[in-house]
Amino acid sequence: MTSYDFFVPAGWRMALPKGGIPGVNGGVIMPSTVAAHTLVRRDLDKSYPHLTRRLVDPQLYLATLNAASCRKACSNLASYGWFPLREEIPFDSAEQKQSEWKKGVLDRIEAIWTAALPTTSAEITILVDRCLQFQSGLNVEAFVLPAPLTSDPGGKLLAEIAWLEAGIATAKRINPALPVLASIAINDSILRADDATSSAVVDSFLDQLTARGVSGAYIVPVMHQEDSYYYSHPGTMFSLFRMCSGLRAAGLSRIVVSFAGTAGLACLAAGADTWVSGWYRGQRRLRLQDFQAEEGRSVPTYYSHPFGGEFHLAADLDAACKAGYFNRIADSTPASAGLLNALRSGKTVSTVPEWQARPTNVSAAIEHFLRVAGRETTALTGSSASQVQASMARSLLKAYTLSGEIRTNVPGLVTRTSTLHQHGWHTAFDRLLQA
Amino acid sequence: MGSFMPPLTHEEIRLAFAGRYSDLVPLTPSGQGSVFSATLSAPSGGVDTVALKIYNVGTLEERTDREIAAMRRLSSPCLVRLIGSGTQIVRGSDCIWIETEFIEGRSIATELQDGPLSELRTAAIIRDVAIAIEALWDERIVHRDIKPANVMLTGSGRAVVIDLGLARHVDLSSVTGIGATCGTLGYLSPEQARANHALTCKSDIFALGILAEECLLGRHPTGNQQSYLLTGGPKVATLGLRPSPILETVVDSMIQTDAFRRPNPAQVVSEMRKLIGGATP
Repeated sequence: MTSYDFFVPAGWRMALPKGGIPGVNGGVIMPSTVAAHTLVRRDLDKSYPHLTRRLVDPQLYLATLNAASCRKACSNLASYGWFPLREEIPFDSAEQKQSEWKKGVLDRIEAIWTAALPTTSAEITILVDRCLQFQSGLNVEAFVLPAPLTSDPGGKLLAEIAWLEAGIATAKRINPALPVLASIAINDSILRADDATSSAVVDSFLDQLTARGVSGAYIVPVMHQEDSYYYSHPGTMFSLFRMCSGLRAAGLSRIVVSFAGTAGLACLAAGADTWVSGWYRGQRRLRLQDFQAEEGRSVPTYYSHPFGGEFHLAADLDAACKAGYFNRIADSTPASAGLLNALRSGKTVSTVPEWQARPTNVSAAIEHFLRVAGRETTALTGSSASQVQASMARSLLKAYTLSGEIRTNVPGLVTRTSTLHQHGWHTAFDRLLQA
Repeated sequence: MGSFMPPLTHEEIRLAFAGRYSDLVPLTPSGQGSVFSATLSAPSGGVDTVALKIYNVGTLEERTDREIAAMRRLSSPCLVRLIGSGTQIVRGSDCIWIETEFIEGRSIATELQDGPLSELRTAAIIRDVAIAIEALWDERIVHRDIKPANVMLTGSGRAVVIDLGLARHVDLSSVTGIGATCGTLGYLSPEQARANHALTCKSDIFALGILAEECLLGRHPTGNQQSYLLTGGPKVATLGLRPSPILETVVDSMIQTDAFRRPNPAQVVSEMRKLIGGATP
């Protein structure tokens, strides 16, 4: 019996709707969205109870971001000690306000950000030490080791191994009792290889991690080949599933999948035990191009677990209901009760103020999504691995069938109402079960 | 790369190493070079008799200081000790040489000429070689050439892994064998044969699994055909062997295609101890 967890990403934005959501078991702090000195001044345990269980994603895979086009993220990352800088700009609370520090860094980030990683063992060890000391100071429940982004399909993983070795040794020195999660930040162009069963890079990751006796893995797929809220390529999904399955088969006790959106939930049936996602696009996927611009003002969407995705509001959800799909797509949570009551009685989305398709009117959509995510994760706990697999196989088949019908029978759907990824997920999971 | 023909003589070694050795006895040469037992003129670390291996030109990459330091730290009763290592001009060419303590005994290859080994003896060999692989991996070294000829059985029955010639530290890009297959056909793990990613101790574990089958069978399970090992080794049951369930399970797990599915050396040792304890049968 495995216990499953749903974690949310935490950065400058940390609070949950209504102070807490059932089924949100913890959080992962993302340095790219909050400066270090802002983070450490927050009382995480008191003000953000859902972060009592917490991890820090070092996000070293962002070290090669272009500071000229990703100023905000690089400025936040530069405030942590483990990114190579030409010059450090410390924050002094006695001398300056946080806004003054931020302006100073934003003005100079291009000059100080190296966008390169060290290659010598001594330099790597210094940065790893700073990273793990910081994590230790934040009382994380496990170390997440920093790792560079893997994007070369023919890569030998020599840099990744060097960081991994330094991480394992440093973690042992700082706190040998704390579990150690090795990071895998991997470009989806590697994951989507046609024959993921023989991907040298995936095989090598599995071999290198399992041979070193780490407690677990923290997996971040990096979206490069797609531009969606969902990975849709079956190869990408199969590789993700295979990594989780392989690491679990090799005895790793903790496998966390982050930035995969709701694909992370599906990964629980492949061997992962924790998935990390928020509602916003930047919390669901890791796409380097996203750091080049501020995410636009969000509009609400309606997440339906039976459908395996979201409906764009208001036109697509209204159209699906009009086509007779209400009962099959309805997903009830306290946050969506008003909307479902309205739709059930033949009204449209626009009659429900908290779900009206207006920019920033997203509170209900976020709360609903997080409640569904927590509910579905909690529902798996207590089941055996084979029961979880069977349950996920049924869900994915159902979503695949429903999405196909809706694509055929509801004309004019916009791309935000994704009806394609369900096929990829179902195909990949089926392949995993047969492997 | 070419072997020394005619074979190296005592006199050539004596001259090349300028009196380092007082006595030299040629041993069975390997495909990689010439091997001698030699008496050190000045004993080192309590060792006076060593096995000296002089590699054929181009056989090996030169070791870095860091790698040599890691190899010198190796300490296990189941692993030969490195005494010295370097390059020396022999017959006009720079040759890599390695000097290890001399292990008295018979190799498993020799032992198998008399027939298969018992299950208990095989289990003890698996345990001892896994201990050696674990000691190597603790220093992040992969042996890359575990085979019957490279495991000596001492008078007390202990198995000792010898020949650190191909052993490499993971720090080196060359270690890895990426792009160049090295080792002995018939014992290469699928990933070592493909030479497409950095190796770990799991590759040595695969070779140990094949060696274990050879001990039980009295001959190599695929007649040294590497092509039959690309998708893993043959299951124990398919060889007509019926060892105890523990031994069968462990050996089958060691020769799986996927490295990550193979057990760690410590797990192998633990399983074998369940079968035979810590003693040497």
